Amino acid sequence: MPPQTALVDTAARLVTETSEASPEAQLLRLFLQHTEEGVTIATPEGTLVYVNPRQAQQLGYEPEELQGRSWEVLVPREATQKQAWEEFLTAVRMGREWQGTLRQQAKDGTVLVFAVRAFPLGNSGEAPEGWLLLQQAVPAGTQQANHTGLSPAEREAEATRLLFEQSERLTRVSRLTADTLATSNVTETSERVVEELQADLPTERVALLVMDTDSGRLRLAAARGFPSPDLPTEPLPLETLPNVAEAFRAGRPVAAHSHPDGLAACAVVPLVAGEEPLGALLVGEAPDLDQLHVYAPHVAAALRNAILADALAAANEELREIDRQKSEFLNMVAHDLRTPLTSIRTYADLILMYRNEPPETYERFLRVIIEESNRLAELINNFLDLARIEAGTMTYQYEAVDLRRVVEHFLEVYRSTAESRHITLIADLPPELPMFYGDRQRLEQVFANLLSNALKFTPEGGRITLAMREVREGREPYLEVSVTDTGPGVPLTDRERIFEKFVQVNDHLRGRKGGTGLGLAIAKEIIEHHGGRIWVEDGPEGGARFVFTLPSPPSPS
Amino acid sequence: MAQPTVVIVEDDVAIAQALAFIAEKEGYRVLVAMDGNTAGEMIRREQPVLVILDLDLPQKNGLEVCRDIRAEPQLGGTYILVLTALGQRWDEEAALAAGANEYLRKPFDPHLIRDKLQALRPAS
Repeated sequence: MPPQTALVDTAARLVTETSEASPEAQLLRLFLQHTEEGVTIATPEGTLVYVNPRQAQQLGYEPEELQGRSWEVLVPREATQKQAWEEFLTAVRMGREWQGTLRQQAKDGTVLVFAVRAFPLGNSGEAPEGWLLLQQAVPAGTQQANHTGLSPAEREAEATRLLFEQSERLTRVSRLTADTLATSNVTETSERVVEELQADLPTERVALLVMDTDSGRLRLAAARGFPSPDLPTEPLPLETLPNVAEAFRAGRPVAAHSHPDGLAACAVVPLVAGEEPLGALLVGEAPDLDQLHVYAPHVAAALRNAILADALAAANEELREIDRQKSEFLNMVAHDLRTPLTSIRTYADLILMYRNEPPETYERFLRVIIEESNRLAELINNFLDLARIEAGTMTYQYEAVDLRRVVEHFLEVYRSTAESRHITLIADLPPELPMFYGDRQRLEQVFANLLSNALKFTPEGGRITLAMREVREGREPYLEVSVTDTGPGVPLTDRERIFEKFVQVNDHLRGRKGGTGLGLAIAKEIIEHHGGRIWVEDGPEGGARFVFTLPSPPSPS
Repeated sequence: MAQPTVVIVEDDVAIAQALAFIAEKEGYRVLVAMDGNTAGEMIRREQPVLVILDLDLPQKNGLEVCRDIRAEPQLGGTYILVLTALGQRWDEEAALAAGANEYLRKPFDPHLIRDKLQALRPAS
C-alpha cells in the first residue's frame, strides 16, 4: 500500500471500517453506499483509497478492485479522449478545486463521460492531504457538450440549454395529445408516437403495443427499428409477456433483460388511463427509464384519445347503418301495405264496374277482398309487434300451455287450405308431452307463421310435416318443434338474414308471395324470450325445415 | 283483325287476375308474367299492343324490362303502362326515361285501365 497522509487514512477508515460505530460514521457509510453520485477519495498522488459502490459499478469494477490503484487506470488510451485529464491533473498539482468533464475508461474498455468535481482535503492554503471526487455519469446524447475549459458561466449556460432541449422534447411529446384529437385513430396515432419517440430518444428501436379491450390482448400497433422476430406478430394476452406484465405491476418503466418473450435489451413502458391498461411502449438500447416515465402519461393520453375517437367513429357508422336500414324498411312497409290495399280497392271497383256478371264472379271478388283484408291486418299486427320489440315493450303473459292442443288446433285451421291445394299435412307428435310454461298467444303466433310460410312455399301436391319431440340427452332437456316442407328451401346465404329485423328478404323469397318476412323476426324474438333457439336447415327432401327449441319444464318428481 | 294481345307483368296474383279480368272483358288475349326474365321473353315473342308493367319484380326489375323493350325496333309500337306501388317521384321519372309511355300508381282506378285498353284496341 503506497504511503498515505493521516487525513486520508482517517477518512478511509471512517467510511470503510464497520468497527467505527459512531452515529455520524454510520450515517456517512449509509449515504456513501446508496447515493446515486460516484464518490472517490484519493491521496495527493492519485492513489484511490476509497471508491463508493455507485462509482465502481458505473465503471464496471468491484469497489475493492480499484482500491490502492492510481486514478491513471481510468485515463482512456486514445489520445483524443484524454483532453480534460491534463487540465484536471494541473489543478491537482496546484492544489486547486476543479470542476469539469472527464472521460474515463471502464473495466471493459468502454469510455464513459463523467461530470467531475474535485475538492482538496486538508487546511486551505496548505498542500492538500488528499482529494475528494464527486462524479456523475453524463447520459449519452448530451456528451457533445463536454468541452474543456468552460467557465462556470458557460457551464451554466450549457446546463440551461440542455434543460431547455429536454423540456422542448417533452412539449413535442405532449403535443401528441392535442394532435391526436385531430388525427384521431389508433393506427395513425401509433405511427406518430413511435416516429416522435424515435426522433427524441437516443435509440433506433421503438415499438408500441396496444391493448384490444374486447379480447384483452396486446397487439403490435407500430414499430420502428426492431428486428421483426423480436416482436409479437399476433395479439397476445398480457400473461404471456412477462416483461410487460412486470411493467404494469411496477406502474413504471422497467428494463427488460432475460425474459423469454423476445423483448430482451429494451425498456418496457406501461401506458395506463386510470387503472385501465392501454398498451406498452418498447424502447431499445440503454434507455433512460426516468425520462420514459415522464413521457408515458402523454403517450397514454394520446392513445386514449385515439381509442375513444375510434370507438366513436364505429358507433357513429353503426347508427348510420341502422338509420339507413330503417328508411329502407319504411319504404318496404309502405310498399307492403299498398299491395293488399290495391287489391281491395281494385276488386271493389270491379264489382261496381261490371254489373251483369254471374254470382260466382262476385263471390270470387268478395273472397279476394276478405283475404286481402286479412293480409293487411296481419301486416299491421306484425309491424306493431316489431315496434314493441324495438321499444322493448313486448309483453308476455305466462301460463301453463298444452302444446299438443295448440298444434292440433293449428292442424285443424290449416287443413282445409292445405287440402284445397292438395298438400298433405302430417303431424308427428309424441304420445305424451309435459305442460309447457309460456305465453300461449305468442307461441301460437310462431306456429301460425311457420305453417303459413310452409303453405305459401309448398307447391301443389307437396307435403308439410309438423313434428315435436322431447330431447332428454345432455344436462338441459328441451322440446324440439319442426315444420318441414317440400318447397324450394332457403339458400344458405339467406338462412340467418330471414330472421333479421329490417332486412328485406331476397326477391326469390318474396316473389309473388310478397310480405316483409317480418313474421320470422318476430318468431325469433318470441322463441328467444322463452329461452329457446330458432333456425332453418335443409329438409330431407330438399325443402326447408324450420326448427325451434323450447327449454323443457323440469320433470315432475 | 286478329285479337289484340296484352302482357301483364305483375307478381301479385290478385292484382294480375283483376287486370286480366278487365282486359278479357275488352276482348284482349291476356298473358301474365310474374318475373322480369319471363316477361322479357314473352313480350319479344308476342309483340303485344300493351304491356302493363310492375317495377318491383323478382329477378329483373321493371325498369330493365322497359329498356329491353325499347331496345328492340320491332317493339316500337308497344305501349308500356307502368303500374307500381313504389310511388316515389324518381320512379316516375326513371320509368319515363326508361321508355314507359305512362305511369300509374297503386292503388289505381280500374276505369283508367279499361279506358286505355279501349283506346289501344285497333279499330275493327
